[in-house]
Amino acid sequence: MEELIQKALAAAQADYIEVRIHRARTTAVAFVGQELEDVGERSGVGGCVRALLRGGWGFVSFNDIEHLPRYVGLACEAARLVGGGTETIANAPPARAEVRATPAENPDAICLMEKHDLCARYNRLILGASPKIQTSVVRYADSRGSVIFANSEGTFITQEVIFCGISLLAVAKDGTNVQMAHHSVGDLRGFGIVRNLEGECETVARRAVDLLAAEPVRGGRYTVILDPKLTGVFAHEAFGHLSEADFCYENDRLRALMTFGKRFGSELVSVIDDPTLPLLAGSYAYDDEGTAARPTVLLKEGILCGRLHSRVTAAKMDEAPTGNARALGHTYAPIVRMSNTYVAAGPHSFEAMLAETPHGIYAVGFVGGQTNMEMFTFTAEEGYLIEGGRLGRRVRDVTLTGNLFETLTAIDRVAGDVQHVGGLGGCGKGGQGPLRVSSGGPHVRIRNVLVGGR
Amino acid sequence: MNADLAERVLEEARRRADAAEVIYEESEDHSVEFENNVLKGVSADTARGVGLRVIHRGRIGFSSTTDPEALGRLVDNALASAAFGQEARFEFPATCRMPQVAVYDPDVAEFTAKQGIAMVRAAIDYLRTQMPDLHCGGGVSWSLTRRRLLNSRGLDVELQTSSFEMGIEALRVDEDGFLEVGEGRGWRRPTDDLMPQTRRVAEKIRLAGRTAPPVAGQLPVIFAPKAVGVLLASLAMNTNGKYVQKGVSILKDRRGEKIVDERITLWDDSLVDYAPGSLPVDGEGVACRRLPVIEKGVLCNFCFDLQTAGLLGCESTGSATRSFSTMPAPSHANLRMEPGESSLARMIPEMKRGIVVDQVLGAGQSNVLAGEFSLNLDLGYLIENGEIVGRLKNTMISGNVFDVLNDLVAIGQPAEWHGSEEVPALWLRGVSVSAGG
Repeated sequence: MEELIQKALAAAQADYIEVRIHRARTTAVAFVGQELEDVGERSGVGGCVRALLRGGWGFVSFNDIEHLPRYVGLACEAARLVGGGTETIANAPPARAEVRATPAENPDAICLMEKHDLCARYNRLILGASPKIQTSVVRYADSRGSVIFANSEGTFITQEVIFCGISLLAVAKDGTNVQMAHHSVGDLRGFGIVRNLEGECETVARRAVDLLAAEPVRGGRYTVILDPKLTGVFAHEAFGHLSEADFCYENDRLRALMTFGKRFGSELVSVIDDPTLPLLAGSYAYDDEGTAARPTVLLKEGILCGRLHSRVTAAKMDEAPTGNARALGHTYAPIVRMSNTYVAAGPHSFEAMLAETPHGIYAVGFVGGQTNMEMFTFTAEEGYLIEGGRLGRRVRDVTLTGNLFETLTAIDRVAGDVQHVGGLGGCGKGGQGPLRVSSGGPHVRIRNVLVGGR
Repeated sequence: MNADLAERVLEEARRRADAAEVIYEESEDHSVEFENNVLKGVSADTARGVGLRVIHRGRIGFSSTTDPEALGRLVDNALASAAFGQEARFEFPATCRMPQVAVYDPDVAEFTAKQGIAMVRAAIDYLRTQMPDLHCGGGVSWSLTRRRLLNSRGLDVELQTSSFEMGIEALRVDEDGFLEVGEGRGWRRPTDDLMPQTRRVAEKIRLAGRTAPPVAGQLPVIFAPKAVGVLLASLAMNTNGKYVQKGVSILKDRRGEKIVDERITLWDDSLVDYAPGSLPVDGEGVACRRLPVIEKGVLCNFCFDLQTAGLLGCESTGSATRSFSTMPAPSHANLRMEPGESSLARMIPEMKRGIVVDQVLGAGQSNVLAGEFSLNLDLGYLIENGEIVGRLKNTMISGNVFDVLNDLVAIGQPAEWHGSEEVPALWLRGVSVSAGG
């Protein structure tokens, strides 16, 4: 394989060219209600070539690897069509590396029957938890594969990636009232993380049933405490995406908005992206441009101090690449992405911030979220009214919305209980999703958040 | 790997399994993409793969691969999967009488990157001439797919489809914040004219130039066609046979009952020439059709694939959607809501005071099955005295799809295509609106 790649690269008529080859075997097991919807193994192989010629990019993907030389030619031709552009790529030292995956228990060594039986057991637990449980979804997935990256500067890296996870969903129903609760784990630690989740099965089932009795929250402005999972989602969705250099690199106004040294949030808030944290969902050693991974502090005590780069965006902004160029698979060119993004621990505690909240909402878990860079909406899985510093009635349909910048400034308590949350989901951007990432943080309290509702 | 390989896989599979179905696909996609006013890249993607579904000892198994080196394990993997798989409640179809519908246009194969580049560049030039501050992006992508479906009962169907998608978007950044407006179209035939969409983007950005004062309370709301899909999502999910069979559809026992205003008629129509969701034959070899989902407010039909229908003791509606790497699952082809008597242009003056919703944030975040929605107005306008007075910001609207579709004031015309949905504007009598600071 290396010979095929090196020969093809050497023959290319381009200023810069790179090749990636992905090969993976995946196992999926999915129960929906009583039925096993999916069980089995799939395999795939594919490659891509990205070429830079006279300031323009060409990109070609394929899965007949044996014809690589032909696709190298096609990519150069596509780049020539773009031609006359201003694209460049930042300098990076050539690297040669072979990175092995280090899961505690390799899912490759577990037979399909064991994966099936585990899901069947979890599914029975959820379905049998209450007569109000209408249906369930239990989904297991693993992927064992390797990515080869090579470029015309002499970099040649092989990385093995072994990802494994499970997601548990309970759906409870009472008349037309349908409620759901969800739990998911997924990262690089191996098969062990999907074992012993019986307690979580019971918890999601109970939560879905309890939500049936919850009332929709009344719309209005509240002091809101986010749980670690929701804090992580906020860090990722609302702030992390703004820190991706391709958000602002070609827009002067946005660049001005994202000037280093500018205050963005209260001094309690620091946000970090770190692919080198071991074995989390978003961890890796080299990104998909062959740049070594490293941590990047995005927000330090409320002050903007870093952003995420690929070699392409780094060249545009005359900054250093940060190792955040990632591609979902062989059919995509790498773009700037987060890895493990989290709000750093603060000095407070959940118990104290709760006690100091006379009236508010405790928002827990995450159903979905969206941002348009300035505004965000996040829906919590469940919520509790806070009255007189204590958790009160359960409420549902808690959708938080607001202006990102105002909201970051309105954070007035940050606890120390950081959790990193991975899972089978992931991040979507530019049509590339779900990409494995984790997001995390501690409990935080935000003043004056708009909560939608009736 | 090529289409003949499908026969070889079927040959081996029928020797070892009770029944088998092979799907082979190859596709070729091309795209040109602009970002921040300039051409970012030209790309091409070719792909091929094979999927094998078996029924063995009464159970379903499946596997797929794109790796010629892994072909030897394909039948093994499918049989291993069948050891646990669902009990099959169907037989593979032996024949298919395909209806007439055009899904392939050879002009797509002739379309060139140069044409794509020219049309997006013209659109961006138009927008930037009028509003030099805009940051525009956009692109064109076109693809050709060939599918062959064979099974051990003798079915052998070949299908060639084309698709063509284009879009233009503009981002405006000023002291007040961001506004991003995008318009696009997907169809199975090419065009070299992106100007209708481009003019619409310019018009919307102009309308949003002024910010309206915040409003709250119970207000009438017009959903422009582009936003109606958010409401349709609840109807689509609840009439999907999969959700019915799982028992989670809140409409599962309501066939024949009136569920929404009697002026609403909704079709699932696979037979519109060149529409994005159209096909003559589904992913299992069952003929596609035109099916009423809701007729004059009354719930008529759910969509099914073979297995889902088998489990409920009814017939497939030819709605099996899949690729070579996935098992079939039912989904609607093109959802088409019949237009009404009014129009967006007439609704606005008649409404006097209310909101027009065009783009929303937060779709799908609420409990879609229950019909609930809670949406931030990404692009919405306030109407005062029958005129648009400006863009509403930091505003949420919430409600329940089934409530609001039972309390309609008017349906607009014409219906517009957005993706694989053809929908008119809807004027809802009262929706809960909350405003931020």
